[in-house]
Amino acid sequence: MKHLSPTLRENRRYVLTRIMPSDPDCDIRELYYAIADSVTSLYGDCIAAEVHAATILREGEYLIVRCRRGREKELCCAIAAIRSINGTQVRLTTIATSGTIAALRKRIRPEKQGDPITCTINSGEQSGIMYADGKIDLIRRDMKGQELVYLTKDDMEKFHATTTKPDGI
Amino acid sequence: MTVTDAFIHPFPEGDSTLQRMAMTARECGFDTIIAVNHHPCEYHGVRILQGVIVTEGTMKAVTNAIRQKKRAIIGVAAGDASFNRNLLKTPGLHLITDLHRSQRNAFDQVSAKLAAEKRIAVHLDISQIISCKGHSRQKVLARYAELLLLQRKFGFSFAIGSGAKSILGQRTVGEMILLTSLFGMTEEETVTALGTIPDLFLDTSRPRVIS
Repeated sequence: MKHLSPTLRENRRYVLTRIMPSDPDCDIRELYYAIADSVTSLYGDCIAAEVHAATILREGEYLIVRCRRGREKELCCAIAAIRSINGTQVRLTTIATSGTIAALRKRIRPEKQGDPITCTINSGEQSGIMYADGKIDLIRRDMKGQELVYLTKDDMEKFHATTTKPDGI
Repeated sequence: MTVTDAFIHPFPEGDSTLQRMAMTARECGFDTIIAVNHHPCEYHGVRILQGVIVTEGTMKAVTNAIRQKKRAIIGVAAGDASFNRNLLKTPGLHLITDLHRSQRNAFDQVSAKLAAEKRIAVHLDISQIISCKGHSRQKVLARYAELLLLQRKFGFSFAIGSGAKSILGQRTVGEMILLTSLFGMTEEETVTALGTIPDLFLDTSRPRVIS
């Protein structure tokens, strides 16, 4: 099959987005459905067809999304309007837009590695992850299930929490 | 220029602490946030103002809040037309909120003129655009577009907020501009609306030097 000549091919733009929290329970297909859903519900089927959104690749907490050139604004707006995927609250932040995937790959930073910690708050043990910049994502478990609580190192002092790392320090 | 996120709801109402939300707000490009039911302070270079939202729908609750919280940004949930006009005549009030829930005639041109005259801003909650879907989102967008028409004609202020209860609900300034463009707000109008709060917070009873 003969390929289309470059002048006949549609021009595309690529959008780099960051997923928060960094490890949501969703794969690239579910992310695509969330973005496509958001574009359709905000702009309707006609504009969604013109945007022609597609997920290209996922590297850790980063996702590259493709759209037709000139429709980046609609895509970024739809990405900002995403609230949850499969019932899990997420946030997709647009970082950059470019005409090539290579340019966006340069903007991808290595994933922040946090230390797993165990906290004792009000004599209850909770596990979480502490990052180098002082952010702590704590997993709160109760009868209803579990949910993430976002706090900082300074907040732990307020809650009179004692923190221990897996090595016991 | 100040960039303010009007009304966030930190822990215990939400799942993120005030300090963590302040950190996220700085990353999002904000230098001031209004935290509901938290004391004024400063974390990570972000100024935090105390916010109070009165939802009772009575003038008694409004006057009580104004009397008790003198250093807070006071927002009152809108009601019917007569309640809103009474609100707009109340000194010490800063914001009128939840107008998307009220009827179309609850905030008309008379109210718009009063809001401009008394320097009371209209609060636009961006979380309503994000969390609502389908018909309810269409209603919110239509209401905000009507308010924008009135604002362009009568010149009252808007205050924009994420209404976030979590760091996952906070949005960057750029995202705010994109989301407000859905009901026709321009970038300049959004940036002006994000800088409204400090002007409202000035004590108007004191003499000020205007250079």
